Amino acid sequence: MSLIVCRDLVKTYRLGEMEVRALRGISLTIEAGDCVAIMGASGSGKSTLMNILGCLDVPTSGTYRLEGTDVSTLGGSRLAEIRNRKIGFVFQNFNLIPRTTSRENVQLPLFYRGMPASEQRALALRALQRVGLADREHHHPAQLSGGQQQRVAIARALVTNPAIILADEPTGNLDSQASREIMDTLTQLNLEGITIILVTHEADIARYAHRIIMMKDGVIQSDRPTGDMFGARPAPQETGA
Amino acid sequence: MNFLLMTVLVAFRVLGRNRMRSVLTMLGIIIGVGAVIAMVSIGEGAKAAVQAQIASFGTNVITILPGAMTTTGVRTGHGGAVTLIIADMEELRKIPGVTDVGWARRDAMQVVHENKNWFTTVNGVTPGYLVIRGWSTVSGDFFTQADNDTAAKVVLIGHTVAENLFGPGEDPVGATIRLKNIPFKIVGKLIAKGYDTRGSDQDDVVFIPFSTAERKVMGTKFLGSIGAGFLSAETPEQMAQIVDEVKRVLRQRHKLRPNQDDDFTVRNQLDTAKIQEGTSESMKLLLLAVASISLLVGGIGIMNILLVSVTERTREIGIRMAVGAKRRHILLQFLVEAVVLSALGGLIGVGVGVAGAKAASNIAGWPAIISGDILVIAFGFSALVGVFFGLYPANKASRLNPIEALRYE
Repeated sequence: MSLIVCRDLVKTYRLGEMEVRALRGISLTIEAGDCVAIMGASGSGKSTLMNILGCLDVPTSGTYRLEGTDVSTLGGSRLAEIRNRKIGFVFQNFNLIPRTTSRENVQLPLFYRGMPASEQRALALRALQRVGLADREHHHPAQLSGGQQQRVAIARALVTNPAIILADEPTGNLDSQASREIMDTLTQLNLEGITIILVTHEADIARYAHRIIMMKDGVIQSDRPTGDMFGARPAPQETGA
Repeated sequence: MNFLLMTVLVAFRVLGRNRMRSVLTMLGIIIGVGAVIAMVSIGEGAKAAVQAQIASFGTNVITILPGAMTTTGVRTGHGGAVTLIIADMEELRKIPGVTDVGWARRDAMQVVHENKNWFTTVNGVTPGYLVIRGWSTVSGDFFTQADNDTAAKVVLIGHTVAENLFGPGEDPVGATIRLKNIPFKIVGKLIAKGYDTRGSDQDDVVFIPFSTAERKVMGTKFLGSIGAGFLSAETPEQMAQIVDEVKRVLRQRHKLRPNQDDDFTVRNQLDTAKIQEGTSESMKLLLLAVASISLLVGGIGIMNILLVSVTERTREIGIRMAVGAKRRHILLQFLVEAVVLSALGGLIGVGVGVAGAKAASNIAGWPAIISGDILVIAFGFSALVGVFFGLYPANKASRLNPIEALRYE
């Protein structure tokens, strides 16, 4: 059974009188353990696709099966549960809660599971260790560098042991050194078995994926292994984690 | 439960981050709750003081005054005519339900003890009067019916008079004082009653037997005429009926025709008490209305700040939703913040109210009665204000679209 199976996903928005067709029939299968990059110019529908894959939104028509469950018809409360259990998000602007420590930010998904506080703390600390930030648990986002903030965000994404990590332009706000560290961290996690979906418009970042899906005008333009487009993947470096 | 507890902890932390704003937001509730408690406590204290004053007049007392009284309080009895006499009172004694009968007349004069003197009210009274008005002695004893019958020269002195004629700690009983140069033996010193409802000192008084006053001290135009008559009823319920009966008997004895006004005035102590209590009740309601308005304003303040907070924290709400917060989690979070704000404000308000009531009673010399009930009610009400005014912002927060909230700058 494939991790993600999408059939004929269509998403239409109404903007006043106008109807915007953001997705015009996307069919897609992603296997567990894969690392996929979704590329495309702005307006290509890649953000809409990511929102649907991340269960933040539901398609207007078509089906989306996540680990065999059809999630395209679920209500807000069930979608929230699926996001909590199966999906970890990494955003371009990190999206950490300000004036809240790294550990508390990482604990957040566990908090909504109603997990006992001591258990939350232990799991959050382990996740921070995995991204090499165990010594930053009491720091607030403002006291961390961009790369460190993004690694806290990655720790928050993986603390629930999700099926997928969805990374939306994860290096968009970072310099090249920090970008490489973040991509190495994500690659390392992928090697440990977590499925990673990258949304990016940078070819350098997409090269870390096994497979690149190009989108244009709400449809998939091409879907090929990375080697076909850019040659070999960069080898992951030791992150010290 | 676990989740709720953690939400409360988070709410405390969030509010702690904006300490100044939180305190200012709570101010409305603090003032509202503080005002409710201070006002009700002072009001209760005033009511108790009035009740104590009324009780100091005696229990179930009916007063009969000679001469009619108009609504403006002007006496219209015939000048010099005697309209109330001892024989009237003896007749009223027969009315069922009447337990004691007494009468009095008074005059103001100088009383002298050795080298000290004091100007006071001298009351000529029967022993029944002393019982009806609830007097008792701290030392010595009342004069007796026999003293009254024989017009004995004995006197009971009030607390204020004793203070002015005798040294501190000196027992006046057995000493002799002079009224109009007539020596009187002090047989008893009375308890202190304090001020009456009209603010005059009830203890600035001496009592002598009625007949002594009539025959030896004050003189009279007509033997047996009295200044005021007093009856006590067995129970408060009988009082209205007794008042009617008193009027009927007196009109008959005074041979008044149906078209003539009463030539006497009957006062029921309960009526006075009801008026006093009614005044303090309506005062309390007014104060409560004012306090409720300030609680309402406080609640609107909380709603206002929470709406600002929801807008400021739109992104945070989006993040929380993305990592798995359900609508009810967000709703609960903001509702808890509202309730924490208002309940904390309520708690501080309780402290402020209690302190305010005590300070006011110290400054004004006015008693404040702080009942546990009002503390609980005021605190509970403040928490309810939080729930009520928190619902709208919390609902607004919980209805945000996670995608738009995440993109919010």
